[in-house]
Amino acid sequence: VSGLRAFIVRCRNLFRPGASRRRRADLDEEVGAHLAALQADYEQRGLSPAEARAAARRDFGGVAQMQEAWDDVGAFPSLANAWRDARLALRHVRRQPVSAITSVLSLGIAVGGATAVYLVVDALFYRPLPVTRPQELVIVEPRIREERWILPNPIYERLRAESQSLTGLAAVNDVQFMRARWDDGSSGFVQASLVSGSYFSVLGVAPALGRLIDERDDQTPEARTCSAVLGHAYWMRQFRGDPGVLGRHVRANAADCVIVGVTAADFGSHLAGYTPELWLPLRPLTGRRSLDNYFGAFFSGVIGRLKPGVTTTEAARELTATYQRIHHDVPTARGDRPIDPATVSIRLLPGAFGINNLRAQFGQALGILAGLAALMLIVAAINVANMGLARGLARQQELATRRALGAGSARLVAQLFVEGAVIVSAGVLTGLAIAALLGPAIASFITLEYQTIALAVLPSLRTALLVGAISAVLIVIVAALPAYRLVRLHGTLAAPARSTTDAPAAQRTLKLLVVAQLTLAFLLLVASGLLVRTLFGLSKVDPGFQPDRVLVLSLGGDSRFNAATEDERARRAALYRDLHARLQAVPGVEATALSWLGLFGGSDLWLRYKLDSQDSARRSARVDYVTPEYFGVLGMRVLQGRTFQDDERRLDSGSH
Amino acid sequence: MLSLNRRHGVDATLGPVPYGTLDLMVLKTLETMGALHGYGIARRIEQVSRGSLALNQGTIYPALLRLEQKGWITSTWGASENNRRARFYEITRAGRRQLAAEETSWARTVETIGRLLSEKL
Repeated sequence: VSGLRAFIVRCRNLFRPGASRRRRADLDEEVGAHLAALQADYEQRGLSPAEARAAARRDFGGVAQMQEAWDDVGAFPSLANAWRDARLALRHVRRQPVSAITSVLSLGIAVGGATAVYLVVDALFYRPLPVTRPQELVIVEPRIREERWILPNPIYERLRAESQSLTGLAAVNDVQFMRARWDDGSSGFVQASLVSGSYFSVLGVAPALGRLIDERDDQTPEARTCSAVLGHAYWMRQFRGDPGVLGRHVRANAADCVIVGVTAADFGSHLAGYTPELWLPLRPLTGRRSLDNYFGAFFSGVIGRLKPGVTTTEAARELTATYQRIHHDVPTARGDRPIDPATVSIRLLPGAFGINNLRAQFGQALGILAGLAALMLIVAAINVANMGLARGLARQQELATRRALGAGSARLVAQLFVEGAVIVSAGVLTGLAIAALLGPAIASFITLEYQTIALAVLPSLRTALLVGAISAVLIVIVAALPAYRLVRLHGTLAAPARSTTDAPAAQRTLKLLVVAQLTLAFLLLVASGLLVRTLFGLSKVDPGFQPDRVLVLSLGGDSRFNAATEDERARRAALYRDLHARLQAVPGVEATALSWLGLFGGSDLWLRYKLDSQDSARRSARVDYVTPEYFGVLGMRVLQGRTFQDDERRLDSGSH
Repeated sequence: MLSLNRRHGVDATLGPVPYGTLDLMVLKTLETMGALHGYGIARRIEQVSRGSLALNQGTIYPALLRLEQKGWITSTWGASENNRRARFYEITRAGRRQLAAEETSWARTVETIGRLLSEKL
């Protein structure tokens, strides 16, 4: 108990330098009194004051030695040594700032790069969705002979009703640009996800406010009113977290929706980096015709939750059997090619990390990046070790002096080690600062073609452990190796007979290091050159048009394209021509164009066509109907040929 | 090695203070004499040893700090004989227990060594 007590006292002293200064002053006073009493005794015995003081000093012994011993009792001697070594190291650094700064910077860049890459890897691969028991979640993916296949809504609903191995099944459809008009008249595009009524309960997400979408919101496809839920980040951003948002109306597509709740703050979505602003019920916003058709409704993803004790394989077998059994019950539209149900199987992928296309898409690139970062770390470590060794060779004299003064090998190794450790610590700290900037930059490269992804890069325990491990390896390479090498070399310098054999050994180490360093540096240069080119290419994705200063004005009304009568068509054409002319006359408008779909409408028009009258292939193309100015207004480049000319307008509008 | 010797004071002409015994001597002195300041303790140890020990008086201060950390002695500030501020040390209950234990073990060691040395080889 008394040993523990002493330990606690020492620890406390460690963190209270002020208190220890006070105690030191007390000691000085105590010693002063002691010496005065001793001197007084000698003076009484007849010595002169000077002689008495000398005698007192002699009896007392060395004051400095006593103080050092006293300090050691109050603290941890090895710690005090380390502190002294660190201060010595800083002195050396000040004496050779260029070499030290180079070392710190190269380590910093290498550590920063590696940490930044790992932060992204961590965000993408190791962070499960913030939902209840994420390991029970599975992604349901039908395959036809290993090719990915769709899961049509009718099949989804039957699987959901009949599955024995799942506690729940949920479907989601992400809509990157959903046109939303708020009840205060403001409007714009929001990121939305249409979700089945089971979605939030299958995932186990709680609301931050109000309630989330559930089965009663997702009943009837014909409903013209619906419930909507706000994403937490959007709620904070757009409504400043105002609870009064409940009950507000938003018009999404053709449905009038009422805000009923806000999702939990930590919940993004079923996909890392994707945070929908608006959650809407799937059925009311999809429509019965699409829902009933085999090829009508596609889902971004279908997520299930396994019953406890059921394995993924068992569940997949059951779902495949169900799919094959019910396949013929599902009507397919107008003579589409039938599918042989025997070739369809259902694959279940682990869903703890969400519907993560990102992993498949960016896993390899990140792997390469991680490899490069590791290589860079090794190069930097060898480089810095090399510099340390070179610096050390230049310091033989100092080391010799210290050894002559009685410093043992262990003490010298400790000193050089602490010097290296100071460099490594500074390097790692610099690296962390670099990673804090670089991590988000790398994460911003990770995005999907049709979906905005904003991967959040956050520090985690795993990252901390990795940085710790990197630091440990660096300390071994950068601090321990050169220290050991130098002291071994130095030990032999003290005994000249052996110096001829051992000094070349250090030279050999140095040469090897240089060769390794040059080789790796060359590799790295080539690889990083390629990498930078790739990253640069990625960051400059050409959308095919110039989005700045383009405004979209959308018209409500009948959204069906083909149903108009002859009269109706003529009326529409007149309206559009009139509108076009009037918009053109608005001051500040440079040019206008009409388009049936507009930009980011989220819907497609398909048209069958033949190359000539003999063409028997079934061809169809995605189309949009536009006025000739369309390409100019959007700044679309035409790679070959020309766009429409004005005299083609009549033909164009006549066909409406 | 160096620091050990320094702590306990070595003089070639006199017997050194055996390692680990200074703490015991300080505890025993405080038990016998009651509250004492550092100088008083050093003087008392020198008197009792009748000049057979080479004690650098300064070495008792690290020993006093060590004993205080272990909770075997306590200290208070007071005035010395020549009216200077001085710290007075006192043995605690735990210190007395420790002293008793060490006295027993010391006696046993002395007895064992004595028997060994007096044995005819």
